[in-house]
Amino acid sequence: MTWLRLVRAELRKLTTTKMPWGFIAVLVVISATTAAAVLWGTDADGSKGFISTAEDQRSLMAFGLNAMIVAGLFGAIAVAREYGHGTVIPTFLTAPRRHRAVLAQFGAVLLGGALLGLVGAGLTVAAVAASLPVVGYDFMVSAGAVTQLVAASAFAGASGAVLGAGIGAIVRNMGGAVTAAVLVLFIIPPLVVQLVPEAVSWVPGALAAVLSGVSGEVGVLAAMAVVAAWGIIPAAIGLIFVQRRDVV
Amino acid sequence: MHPLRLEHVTKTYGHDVVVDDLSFTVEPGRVTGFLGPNGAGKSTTMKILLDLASADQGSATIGGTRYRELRDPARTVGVILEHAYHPARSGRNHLRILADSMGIPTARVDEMLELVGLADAADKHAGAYSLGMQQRLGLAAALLGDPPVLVLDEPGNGLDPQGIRDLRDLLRARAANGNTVFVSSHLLAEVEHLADEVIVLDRGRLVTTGALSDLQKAGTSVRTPSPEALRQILEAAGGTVQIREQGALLVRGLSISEIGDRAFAAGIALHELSPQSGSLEDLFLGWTGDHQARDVPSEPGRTETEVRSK
Repeated sequence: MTWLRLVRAELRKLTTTKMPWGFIAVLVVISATTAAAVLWGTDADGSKGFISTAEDQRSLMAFGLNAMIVAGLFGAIAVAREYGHGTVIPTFLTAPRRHRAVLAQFGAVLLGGALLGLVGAGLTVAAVAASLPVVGYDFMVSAGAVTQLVAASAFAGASGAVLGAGIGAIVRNMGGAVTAAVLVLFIIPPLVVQLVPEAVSWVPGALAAVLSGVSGEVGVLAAMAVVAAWGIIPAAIGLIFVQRRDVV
Repeated sequence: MHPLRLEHVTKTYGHDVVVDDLSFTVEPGRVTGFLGPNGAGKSTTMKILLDLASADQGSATIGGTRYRELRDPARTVGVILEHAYHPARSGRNHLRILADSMGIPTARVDEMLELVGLADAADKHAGAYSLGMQQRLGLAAALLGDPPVLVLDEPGNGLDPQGIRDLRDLLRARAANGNTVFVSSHLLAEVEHLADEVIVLDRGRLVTTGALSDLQKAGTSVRTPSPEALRQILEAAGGTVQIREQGALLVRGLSISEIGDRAFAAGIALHELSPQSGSLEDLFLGWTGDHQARDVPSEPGRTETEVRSK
């Protein structure tokens, strides 16, 4: 019960500043940009080939990687700001066995990240569905495929948020945590693929595509496990760091 | 009852010894002031007591138990350490978060806001609060769980005179009810009005501890035409002698009658022999200004110079 009280407090922390609205605004901008692409974008040959089939439309709406990146930044900021503003002190005074407090924090951030993924995918699907008829195309993606897109986005968002939270707990500085999250999710993976080509199937973009049903490079269960590991590993390192370090 | 007890606590950061073999006890039912210059190690000591920092050596307990082992720590110890709030969050929401984590009904939040005089500003962002309002918010947070122990780092900072008086009344009332009240401050005049006991720290080491009223009388002012001769006699008798101005001595470690008897036996005339009752500020500057005896371990209830004279 005590742990649930901590989760409740962490959820209230997340919902009593404007930070979540900032991230919702980012999702609105992304979905609006996707709609603009449908309305005015073309392929290199000037055609609308990129929205002409159900698979094309599904690929356009796949939000998994975006969810992971946006939620990663959300998690990094949510946790690092606790150290910046000192609000981690009353948290650790309430739960001096810090792993309980940190797991509550990660749990709340996971829910927030899943919600961001859900909302991001929902807005993108809605934007595409609303803009396709304007350019003379039908919405061809099945309900089952849309459900998979949204679920994949929520899952990737949850994992991304936990990844960001782990980085935030390690770095403790908001600017540093955001930079580290961008590096881990966005910049380092393609460089690693250049060095180790076999890693191409296990970087966030490829895994999110599998979860969204637009790629079959690896099995869905394997992709889920590895996406989860992308979040769990930095979170576990963060948990160890938090327990060993003084709060100064 | 929850006495606070530190035993031989040492803490280093790199090569800096921040807390050095520190031992003291804070008793319930008394207000204990924790004094020391900036950088003396007061905040670090409090963090060690609260398990926010780990000691390299020694132990720190609350009611005989480490903070992290307490059954319900946030309801046992109310803490002000630093301004720990998000500036974009309202004071009310800040307290609601704490109440959520402690399992306290939100009605208690409104009670605390009323108690500290923040009810009208409860829904403003805490970042817009004045320093005094921030302190009141911190005090409301510390009192939220109605704890029997208060550990407060500079709680009077930024409070107006009425706020300081309210704080003093509140802390004294809690101590009178048997609670443990441990307050660090650099406002010496405020501590002089508030504290029953003081613990003085300098460069991480205990300088003195004891009842403030005893410490303020812990010296004898002596005036004589033969100060050097009297100094030698009194130091040989185990006293600590400070020559202050021409012919005036401050003597610690010997009673007035002992000083008088020894001067009489040596045939030294005395023009004044009176108990010294200095202000806390004078005493504090004397304690923390004298670093000569730094390598001598102190004992509870004795000043460092007294220990040196043993």
